[in-house]
Order: sequence, then C-alpha cells, then structure tokens
Amino acid sequence: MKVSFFVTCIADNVLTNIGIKSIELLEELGCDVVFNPKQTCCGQPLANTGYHKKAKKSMRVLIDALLEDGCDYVVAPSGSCVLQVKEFPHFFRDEAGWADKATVLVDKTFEITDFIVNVLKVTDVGASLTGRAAYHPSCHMSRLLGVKEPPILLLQHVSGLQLVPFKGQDKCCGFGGTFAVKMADLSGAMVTEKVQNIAAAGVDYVIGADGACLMNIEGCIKREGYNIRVYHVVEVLMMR
Amino acid sequence: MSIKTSDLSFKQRMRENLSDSFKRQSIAAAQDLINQKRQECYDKLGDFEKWRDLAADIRSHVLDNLDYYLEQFVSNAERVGATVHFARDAAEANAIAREIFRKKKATKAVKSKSMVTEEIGLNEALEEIGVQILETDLGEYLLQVDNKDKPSHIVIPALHKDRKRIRGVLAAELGYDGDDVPENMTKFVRGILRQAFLSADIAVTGCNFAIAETGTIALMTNEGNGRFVTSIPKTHIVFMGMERIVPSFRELDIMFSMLARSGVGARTSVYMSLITGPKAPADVDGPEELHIIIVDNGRSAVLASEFRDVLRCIRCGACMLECPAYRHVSGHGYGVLYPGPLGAALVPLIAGYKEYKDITKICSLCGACNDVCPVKIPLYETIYQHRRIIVEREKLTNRLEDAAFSVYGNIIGHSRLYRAATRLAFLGNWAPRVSLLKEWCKSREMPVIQKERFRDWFARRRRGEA
Amino acid sequence: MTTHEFIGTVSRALGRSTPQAPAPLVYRHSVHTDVMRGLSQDALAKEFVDYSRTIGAHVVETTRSQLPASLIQVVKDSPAGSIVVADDPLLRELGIVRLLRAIAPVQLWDVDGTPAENIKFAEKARIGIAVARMALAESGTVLLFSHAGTGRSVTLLPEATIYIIPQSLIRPRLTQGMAYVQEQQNDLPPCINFVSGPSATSDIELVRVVGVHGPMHVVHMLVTDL
Repeated sequence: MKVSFFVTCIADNVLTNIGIKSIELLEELGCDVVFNPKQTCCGQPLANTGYHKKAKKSMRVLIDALLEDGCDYVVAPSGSCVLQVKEFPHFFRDEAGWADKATVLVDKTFEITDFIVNVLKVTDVGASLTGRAAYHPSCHMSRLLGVKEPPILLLQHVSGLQLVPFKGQDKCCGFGGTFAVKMADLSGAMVTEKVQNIAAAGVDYVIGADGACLMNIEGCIKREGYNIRVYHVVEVLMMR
Repeated sequence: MSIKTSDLSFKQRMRENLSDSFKRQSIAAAQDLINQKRQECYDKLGDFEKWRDLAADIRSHVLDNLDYYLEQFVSNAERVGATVHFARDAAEANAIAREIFRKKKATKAVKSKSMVTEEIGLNEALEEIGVQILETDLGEYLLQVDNKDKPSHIVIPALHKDRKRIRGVLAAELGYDGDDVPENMTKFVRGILRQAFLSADIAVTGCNFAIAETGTIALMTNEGNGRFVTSIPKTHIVFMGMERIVPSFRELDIMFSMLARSGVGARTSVYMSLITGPKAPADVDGPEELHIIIVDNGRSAVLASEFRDVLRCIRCGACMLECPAYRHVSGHGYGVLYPGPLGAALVPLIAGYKEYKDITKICSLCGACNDVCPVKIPLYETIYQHRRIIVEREKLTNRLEDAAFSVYGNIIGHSRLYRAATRLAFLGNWAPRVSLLKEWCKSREMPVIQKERFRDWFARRRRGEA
Repeated sequence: MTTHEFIGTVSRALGRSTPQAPAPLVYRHSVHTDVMRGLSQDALAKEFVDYSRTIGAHVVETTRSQLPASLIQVVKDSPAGSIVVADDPLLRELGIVRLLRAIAPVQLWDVDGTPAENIKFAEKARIGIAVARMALAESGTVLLFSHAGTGRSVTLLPEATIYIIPQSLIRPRLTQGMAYVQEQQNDLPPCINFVSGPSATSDIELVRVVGVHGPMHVVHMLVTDL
C-alpha cells in the first residue's frame, strides 16, 4: 500500500520527531511511504485569520505535491491539518479544475490514527510505556473531523499505559493558530487552566494527536514547571 | 442598554476581565455546574442529536417561511384582540412604546427579562419621557439598582456578582440591613418588587415564542415575574423579535423542551405562560389591553444573507456556557449585549462588521459551541466566515498585518521559497522575544525549531544514512 | 408601518414578493412521543410524585372521599391566614369553602367582584387553592387554565398554592400538554399556565432560592380515584 506522507509544517520544522516516528510506524505496519518535498503547509493559519485568497496559494502547492506520486492514501499526523485538507473543495468551489483535484485529495486523506485503525485495521502495534497518561483530544480532530475513538483505541493497547480522565478534558487548549499570539492573554489563560487540570490528575505524560496543541501545552507545562512529558500518539506507539 | 454595552477598548476589555479572578472563577463554576446539569437532563430525555434535529428543522422551516407565519400570527393575534405594531428598527420600536405610554398616561412600568428590549434600549427611551421602568428578573434588577451595571450572561445576568457585592448594593441603594444570605436578600427584593407589580400601569415583556396558528405569546420564567406582569397591570406590551415564531403548540413543545434544558439545565422552567389576547370580558384579572410590537432591527437583512441560520437562535445561552473563551473573559469581555459564540456570530450581522469585528477574535475555533447548540446553528462556520469577510470584503485589517500575512502566504505558496526559508528557520531560536514571540512567551516557553528538519532526516534515511 | 409593508420586507428577504403556503413540516424523529411511552397511569403518577418532590413541591396523596379531611390537614400545615379559592365546579361540589371556613377566613374568587377587590384579597391571602386541568409526569408540572372563576392571581399572589390534581389527568410530558392545548385552539382562554413547583431563582451565586415573586410553597394534592 503506497502512502504519501503529509508531514505538516510543525512536524517538519519543530516537532520533527512526530514526522520521524510516523514514518517508522507506517513502514512497520507495511506501508510504502513516500514523502514529496514540494509540500509546504495547509494554509490554515492564514485561512483561520480570514486570509483565504492568500491561503489558497499554499493549498494548490499542497494538492499537487500530495497527488503527484499517485499514492493510494495521504496520511498526516494532525487532525487539524487533515481537517483543513478536507475543507479544500470549499475554497475552490468556483475553480472547477482545482475543486476536482481537491476532492480527489480529500477522499484519500486520513489522520494517522484513523488510518491505522480504520484502513489498516490495526489497534495493537505492540507498543509499551509504563505510567499514567492524560489524553488531550484536540478540538479539530475530535469535534470537527470526528476522529475520536482511534487514538484512544491505540493507546488502550499500549502495554503498561494507564489513561486517566481529567477535568475539562475535551476543552480547547487555547492554541487556535494565530489566536495563540493575537489573543495571547486569553489563549494563555486557557492553556494554563488546561495544564493545571492535567497536573491535578497526577499523570506522568500528556498524549495528543496534534502537534500544535502539544507545542502549546508543552510550552505551558515548562513555564509552570511541571514534571510531565508530552508525547504525540505516534511517539508512544513506537515505544517498545 | 443597546447592543454595545461597554465604552472600553477591545484591549482594555480583555485585560480588565482576564484580571478579574473572582469573575473568572464564578463564570467557570457556573459553566461547570450548568453544563453538568444540562448533560444529565438530556441524558434522561433520550437522544439529544434527534431532539436537536427536530428543533433545528422547526427553526429552519419557520425562517424559510417567515413571511407566511408572521402574517398568520398577526392575523390571529388581532383576531383574539391584541393590537399588533411593527418596528423596522430600535427607534421605531421605542417610539411605538412611548406613544402607548403617553396615551395611557402611564408613568410606572414593570418589565420581565427581555433581550430584545435591551437590544433597542427601551429603558432609556422610556426614562427620557419620565417613565420609571423596573426590571423584575432578580438578576436584572440587581444590575439595574447597581448603577445600571451590565449583564455578563443572557440567562444569568448577574453571574459576575457575588453575595457580598450584592449585599453592598442593596444596602447602599435600598437601605437593606440584613445579612448576605441569598434567601434573605431575595426575600427583601421580593417585598420591593411586589409593590412595584401591584402599582405598575404597564407591563413590558419579551416573547420566547409566538404561536402562529393561534396568535399566542409564550413566556418562560422561573421566578414568576412573567406571570406577575401578565396578571396585574392593565396594559401589557410584548416586544417580539420577528423570528420568534413557531407554527403551532406542537412545535412549542420541542422548542420549550430544548430551551429549559439548554438554558439552565432544567427539565422545565417553573412557569410557562401562554397569553392569547387580552383578558376576556368575564375575567376578573389580567390586562385589558395587549400590544405586540414586532421588531426587525436588522433581522430581515440577516434573513436575506448567507447567515440565515443564525436567526434560529432561541437565546438559551448554552454556547456561552460551553465556550472556553467566554469562560475567561465573561460576557463583559465582548462588550456587547449578546456575548459568546452567538454574539460573535450575530452581532456583526445586525450591528456591522466595522464596529464589532473584534469580537470574532474571541474564539479559538474549537467548535464546542456547535456541539451544544440545541438548534444546530453553525456557529463555528459563521465566525470563520465573518473573519474572511472582515479581511477580504470589508478590508478592516491593518496594513502591517496584511503585509506580514502576504509574506507568509508567499513562502508557503512556493515550494522552493518554503524550503529555503525553513532551512534557516532554526535561527529563529535565537530571535529576540519581541512582537509575536513575546506574545507567545507570556504564558509559555518557546518550542525549539530543529536544525535538521523532518525533510532532511527523510532524505538522509532514503540515502540509507538514518 | 403597516402589516403589508412589514411582511413585504420579510418576503423580499426570502426572495419573493408575497408569502406562500409552506410545504408541511416533517418530523424526522419521534423522540418526543417516545418519552414514557406505554407507562401505566400508576407509573405516571409515581413519576409525577417523584419529580414534584425533586423540584420542591409538597405531595399529598388522597382519595375523593378523603379529600376534605386531607385538605384541612394541609391547610393546617400551611402558613396560617386567609385563603382564596378558585370558583371551580369540583371545589363547589366538595363544599370546600364552607369546610375551610371552619378553620380560616376564606374567600371564593368573586366572578362578580372588581379586579381591585379580588386582587386585594388574594394579595393578603396566605393560601390559594385551584384545580389542575392536567399534570405532566416528566416535569412535575400542573396545567392551569385561567378564566373568570380561576383568576390568574389565585395561584400567584398567596405565598402557598394548593393544586388539586386528579390522578387520571396525569400525562407523560409537555408533548401531551401541548396536544391538549392545541385541541382547544379555537377556544383558548387568554391565559394558560404550566407551573412546575414553587417560584425559584438562581440569580445569586447560582444558589437556588425559592419564592422570588410567586408562591414559596406548592402542594400537589393527588386524588388517586379521580
């Protein structure tokens, strides 16, 4: 099965281990993974701020890059970026050629845990990690993309890992793209509450499936001085 | 009041409300408590998704046929003896009300909580002609006596006040000398308001729903003020947003079932009054005259726009109670009558993008509001579209921001440029913490930008080096 | 502004020149009629009693023959003072006014009296007594039709209200309550109330306080064989 990997800009440049572990995981599960270096960013920061026209340039680049290799699937380690890709046809509704390409892309694109569970039909990847973990269900992924169960299902099969519920678990961490800097005080209040709730649950780890939220939560955990490790699901799934 | 409730700048409102820890704690506690009660109520009721399918279908059906149902409502309301008036905007609505007060030589009015009268600034309009108008919802009354303080939530307006503050206000303004136990303070206010009910010339109410088939007005209250004002004063004036219609009592069942649960997490409000015309000739009590003022005030423009769904709103406030941003800045942070996700969706439509563009920023686009809205308003999508309109149609951005986003758009819009730029991005790790980085660092540490990007690692791996 | 002008604006907003009769509104689900479907009258009564208590109403179960005695007991347990009674056929038949006059000043809501006199008495009364048209199990709700004999004030002004509720009139929920109102839509009284327990507020620190404007005490007298 040939998979085109959409790394997302955050995992390309900042949380690179997410990209690395995704490749290792997909290959271990038998996928033939392609990475097309022409890909850039899904354009979500621009689009969410209202700059749709400016965002469409990168969407075109991304559509071409991800379709170029003729893969069966496109997989990304971020529910939020996948959500954005799923929205592409709306952006191009007045441009027939691009709308068609976008629709082809949409049909192939999966968030990585959704892909593993619902396409590869795997729930136990043989991972192990000992300790208590809080799972943060990112808003775009769980609410808007509707991928709720797969990451939890995968984590439940990680040997030694105990998932602990916490107060305000499904509440937004306050990242919200440019929201984090344009509305920094409010965003800060939101992530601080999130982190305090996580800490109150007495966990060793926070695990999520979206690099952006994790970057936000980890930044606040460090600021507040808590001794909690932050992992993306794929990082945990590659622990043995 | 009017749609705008604060003269502070956007930045000031954010700062002031985020630094009010009492307010933040009360809002958070209220959210947690009511959301839990709401959840329990709906769990007991059956499938929430099916219930809100019904509610959303009803509201959409009404909006798509609003002219028909309004006409039907008006003809039935007139048939049962009500006098129906129409107001294009706030000024017209207030003028109609003033005229009724003049004709009746009325100087004292009691009002049961109504958002549309706040929207049009009715109290001020009546006070200008010497009418004393008293709020009778306890929360609204406490705000009114506290030098006209502004509500922080549409259903629980005094959510931001604690018992000590309330005791202080009652003591200073009304000579209350009891303790700060809610029961005792409520009893004190009961005594004052009861006299007001009994001596008022005119009652003013809003309208939760209007039943087209019968010309009936449905009013919901927990305190009983809705019953009081429709029982004692001789004249009753109803202010009705023109979209409040349901076709028949069958639909009222669904809407009321949702409103009570989504509003305060209860199976029902204590009272629901169905008012069909003024009192019958044989009746002893009840108003002799019933006036219904149907208000447009920007609604027909929303109806004609791509945002018609926003008019489905039944003013339950569930979106605010669910919203993580509202949680921290409260209703006061928005500085408008309708705060929270609903406010961010509705206010720019009825009062203009220019003045109200900023409230669309009080949203992390988390989508939680969409999941709780009992009439399935696409709040997330609406706010998202507003942002696009503000930038691309109304062009209400600053040049610096436009320029920065242009640069960014160009970088991610060209593969080579992106590759070149990200190769050097790690130098940003040593960038001074100013501007956006400073904003990020207010509550968080910076992440490290990697010198070896994922794509570098991947290339190395393909070369067999990693 | 005339009706015609106003409706015209709305029609134009909807992209037409005049209103058109809508296609029927289709209900996709039956969740509302499914609630408590198939419950026996006794089971409904139990739900009604339980939820009445949850919302702070006092419940007394009695029979038609025991009603006078039960009522006297309830009145004795309520705030002492005068009583206003709705002019209702059932209460007349039971001779309630005469019966209660033995223990307290009682006034029948006076159909021929002035509003001022009636309201004045009701305002001074400590207890109001009325008969329910229907009751709803799910929400502990009493359905009241106001008319000449049952003034709006009877169940509003006194600090306690006693509702006489025939058990056979308990229905599952608002769905049935609204259907009942709808059946009478050609002859609706100007004021119908759905009342669920004592007047309440949570406006101060979300602490529930009973008795803001309306009655602080509500008694649901369930007559099991009526």
